[in-house]
Amino acid sequence: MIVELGHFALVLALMVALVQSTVPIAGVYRADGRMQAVGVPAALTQLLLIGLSFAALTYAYVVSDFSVVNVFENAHSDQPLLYKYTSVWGNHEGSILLWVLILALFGGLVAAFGTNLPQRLKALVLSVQGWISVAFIGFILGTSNPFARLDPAPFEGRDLNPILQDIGLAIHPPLLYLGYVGCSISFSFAVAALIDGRIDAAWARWARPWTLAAWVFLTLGIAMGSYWAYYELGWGGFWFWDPVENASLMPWLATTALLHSAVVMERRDALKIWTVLLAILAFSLSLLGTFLVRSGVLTSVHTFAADPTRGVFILLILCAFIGGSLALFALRAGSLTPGGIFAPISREGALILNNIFITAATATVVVGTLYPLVLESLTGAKISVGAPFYNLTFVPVVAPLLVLIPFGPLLAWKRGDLRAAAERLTLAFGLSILGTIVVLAFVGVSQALALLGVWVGLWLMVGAFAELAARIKLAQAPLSESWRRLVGLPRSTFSTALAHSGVGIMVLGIVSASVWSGEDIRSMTVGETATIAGYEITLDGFRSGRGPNYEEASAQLTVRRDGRVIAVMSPSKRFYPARDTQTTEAAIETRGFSQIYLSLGDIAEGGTTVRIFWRPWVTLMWWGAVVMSIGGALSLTDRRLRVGAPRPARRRRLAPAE
Amino acid sequence: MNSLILWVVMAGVAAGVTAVILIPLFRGRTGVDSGSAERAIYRDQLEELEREVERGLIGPSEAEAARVEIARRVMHLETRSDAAAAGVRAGRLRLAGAGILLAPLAAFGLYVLLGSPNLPDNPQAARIDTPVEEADMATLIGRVEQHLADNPDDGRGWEVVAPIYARFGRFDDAAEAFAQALRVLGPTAAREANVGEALVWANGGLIVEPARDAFTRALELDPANIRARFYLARALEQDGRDDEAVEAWRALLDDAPPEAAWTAAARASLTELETRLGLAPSGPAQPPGPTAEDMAAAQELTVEEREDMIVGMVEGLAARLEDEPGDVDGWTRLIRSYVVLDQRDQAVGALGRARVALVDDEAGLAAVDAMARELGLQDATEPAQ
Amino acid sequence: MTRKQRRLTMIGAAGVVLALAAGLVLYALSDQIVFFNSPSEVIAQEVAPGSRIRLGGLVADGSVVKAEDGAVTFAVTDGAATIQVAFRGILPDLFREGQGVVTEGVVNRDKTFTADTVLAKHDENYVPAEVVDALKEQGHWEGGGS
Repeated sequence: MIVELGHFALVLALMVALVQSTVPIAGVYRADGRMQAVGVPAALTQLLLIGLSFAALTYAYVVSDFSVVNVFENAHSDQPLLYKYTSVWGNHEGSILLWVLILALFGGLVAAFGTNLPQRLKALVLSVQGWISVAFIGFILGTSNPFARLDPAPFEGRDLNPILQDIGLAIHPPLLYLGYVGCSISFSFAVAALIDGRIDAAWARWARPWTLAAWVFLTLGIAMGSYWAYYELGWGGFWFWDPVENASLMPWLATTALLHSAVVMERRDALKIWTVLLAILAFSLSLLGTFLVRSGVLTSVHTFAADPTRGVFILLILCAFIGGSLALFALRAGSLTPGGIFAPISREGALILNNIFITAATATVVVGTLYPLVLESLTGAKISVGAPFYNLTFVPVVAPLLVLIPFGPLLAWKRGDLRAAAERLTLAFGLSILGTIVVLAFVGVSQALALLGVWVGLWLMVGAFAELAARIKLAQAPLSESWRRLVGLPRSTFSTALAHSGVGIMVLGIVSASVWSGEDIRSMTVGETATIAGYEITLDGFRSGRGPNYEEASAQLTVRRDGRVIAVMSPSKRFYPARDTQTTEAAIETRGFSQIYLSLGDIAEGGTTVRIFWRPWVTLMWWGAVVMSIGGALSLTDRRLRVGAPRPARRRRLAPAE
Repeated sequence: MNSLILWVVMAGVAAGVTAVILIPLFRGRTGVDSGSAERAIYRDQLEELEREVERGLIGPSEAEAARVEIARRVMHLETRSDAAAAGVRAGRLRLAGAGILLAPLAAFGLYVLLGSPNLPDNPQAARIDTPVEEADMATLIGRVEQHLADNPDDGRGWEVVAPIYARFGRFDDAAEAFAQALRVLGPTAAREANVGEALVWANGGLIVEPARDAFTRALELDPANIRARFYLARALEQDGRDDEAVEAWRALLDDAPPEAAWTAAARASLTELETRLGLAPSGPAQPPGPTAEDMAAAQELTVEEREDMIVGMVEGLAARLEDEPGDVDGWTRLIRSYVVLDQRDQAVGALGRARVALVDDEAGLAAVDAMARELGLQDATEPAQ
Repeated sequence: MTRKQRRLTMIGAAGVVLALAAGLVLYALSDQIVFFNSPSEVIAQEVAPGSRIRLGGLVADGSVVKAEDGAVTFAVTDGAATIQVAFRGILPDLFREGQGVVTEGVVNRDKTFTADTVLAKHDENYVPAEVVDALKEQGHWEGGGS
């Protein structure tokens, strides 16, 4: 009964979404406040219904109700309880339901907390949200219904794909979806503004926090996904430039650009049209990501639930939303009032430069991801675009941006002073060069490009705090004065510094893990010792065991440094009988920010092939993403709102007043 | 009963949701209009600015510039007319209300199309606890499987579940189970033949290499094993070694009691081969037992129908044995069928009758007793010495 | 600067960056991409020796030979042609004889293939789309769908 109730709730949610997508917008055109107000209860009840539906599916998973096809295909009664929960979204149907649930959650939040939104705008936003809901609930009911039943019910399920039975997967998709779907809010705001034909300065104030939240979740989601692939796939790689990874990177880049342009719009009432376009593009790229992953047009190491027949439906959704919103943009953008003016060397100018670079970088990823599809449909030739392509396009485009980042926050609004900014960065520059020289002393001069990368990382880390230092007059005023200023600083200053230094930390991790990694594949017999990066790794023996729904054969290896035991690692091979599938479970030992990574090949008589990686400073990459997210989250808590006060440059202040 | 509750709950949910959505239509206008919302924001901004001036975060001249800019924007705001008017026409409201009322009805319509309201929840834990008599076959098999997963050395268990798998068409599982039984209980000709036969079924009648090996081993253990000889003859035929196949079939039929079930198939194959090779046909005799047509028909049937057919065949066999009590093969077949059908009492009864009927046939009695041991029927019915 | 000049400066900067990106993309697309080929295409001289490609097909039955030192050789076939592949490293979990596989590496002069990557598949039912297409071309695909 609970399962069927969940099914009915989903069907009813579709109908409520239909109401939500028509009545409020009709109210706007008829200038009828009561019809506009229908959007709020519709969005809230929709959230309730989809929540009910999701809870019912979760219930079916937890109690192993194999009369539900979806549960039968993706669960096993012996799974640990945690994986019974994560199995809910470890498959196509359930994950789309989660997507819709998050969409309804965001819609519900707008309805519940947008009490200070102008009613017209709120009605339009909720209507646009309703359209997206209708499309995706329709997709679920039409092509991927998780509530289809089996009668008679099989006694045992087919188990979740073992590679997905992992804590990383428990967190990764929900985070990523929070990001993807969070983009829908700024999209809805943008489309609402276009329909309405005007953008208030207040528009950015409402749209920006949502974008920021989406960006934080996307950042964490991508980092989590990267770490999951790193330890679960057993190849020791962290980013494969795989189309599915790009699918999440593209919206992340677009949201990053949107965040920065929304700042200009919020503070300076400028760049409106561009910001609206970016909001549309960010969500379009999210939809594209969903399409690429869910339709099965791509072959990918990450695609675990692909069905080409569903592709057509998603493609239609994609065309309707992207095409429709861009057409609307073309029609209505002209009616939006253009914003204020400013000099190229200014905070606004710097933010625009950021947008230009990020847009270009996004474009390279889009081309690299879609070119193989286009080429194949035109000529039939099958190609793959991998790391070499992106190293030659994405990296050179992003590199200058990274070098320029520390300058941005030091420039004043309206009219900035580049030389003053440069002066303030002298110390940061010196420190980063010093740090690079220290690294140089350790690794030698063999890798000039890598050293450049290290410098960029350090430069970003230190330079990010130059603005902070300048604003509290560090070393210029007494410490107590600096402290007083530090406490009084708006949180957004800290968040900018944190986010930018997070980029630096990440660059450092990526460069180090890519360039100075050690890798050794060797067959080892019991008692044999391998050496990597000064660590001696000895194979002690093998052990076999049984998990709840798998059998496991693991190897015990002792890691020593200078004869002292520092860790015992046991990488393993697992066999899941329900799926007749084997997985490789890597063992990872973290030393500071560096990691020793072991994964096994086939175990034969008294020996096995072992893949040994040494990944120096590798965790910095993910810590960088975490620091960036903390920066973003901090900015979310800063409810401060202020127009960009023109800050006269220092040298001008020294000149006699006119 | 259960589904009635479901309909009531669904109706309740639908009614509640509809009512909540309808509320705004019956209320006055309460929303915030655009102009005042924006003015509120600029007021916020001005206050924020004042706070910063107080804290000395912003210089007076900069603050003044910012103030001027905000003022400029507020002025710009005043000149714009707010489009949200209050004109409400009752007709439109009624239309919107009707649309909203339609939503739950449409939901019920769509749900009836998509849902399975009569199917109750079926959690596995509840199924494990259902009494045996009420449990469905899948649950029973599931229980045995769990038992065997925990006690993989229960050879008898494997032997019980294997024919059931075969009956449900899960031939791969059947072959695996027979192989497990063989592993635990040790090789006999019959067990080797069981494995081989299941492998043949699993491969759609093709005598694959592992099956052939199993039959060969069976013959090593018991050169007279009929099933092994039967399938090996068929294997020769599949390999195109027609002459040898003819030899094998003839030898097999010579040794066989005329009324054995498989002789029809053997004779058909032999006849076909002989015709193809231009040989004189061996004596055609239409024996009892299922004809090729019957077997073909069995392939087309559903599980239930096939079960009925099997039961029918078993009853026919039992009736025939009343008339021809000397048929050893018939008795073994009957007893084995009862065991496969899980009718143990019937099997024991048939064993008793066979012993009475075959009391003069020493070889036959030995064969029946051997099979009874193999099927685990022995203990219950050890004949009084 | 006038409003117009400022706008032109912005557009100019955007133009320069985008042109740079476009140039890099075009260069990279001509040089840094990897084509997918079937064994038949390699045998039919369509692939120059020394070029880097992805080779896809089924792992031929009974062809996998694992040496002591972790080196592996196996044959990839599309039904019409078969190529010997040499690989050093740990094979993905789902690498099996008779299963679809995609390897990346270099074609040797003697029409053998030296792979540095063997791509994993995450589902025992899943065969890479390229392999399916290649097999269809050779008339060896029996499954449904695409």
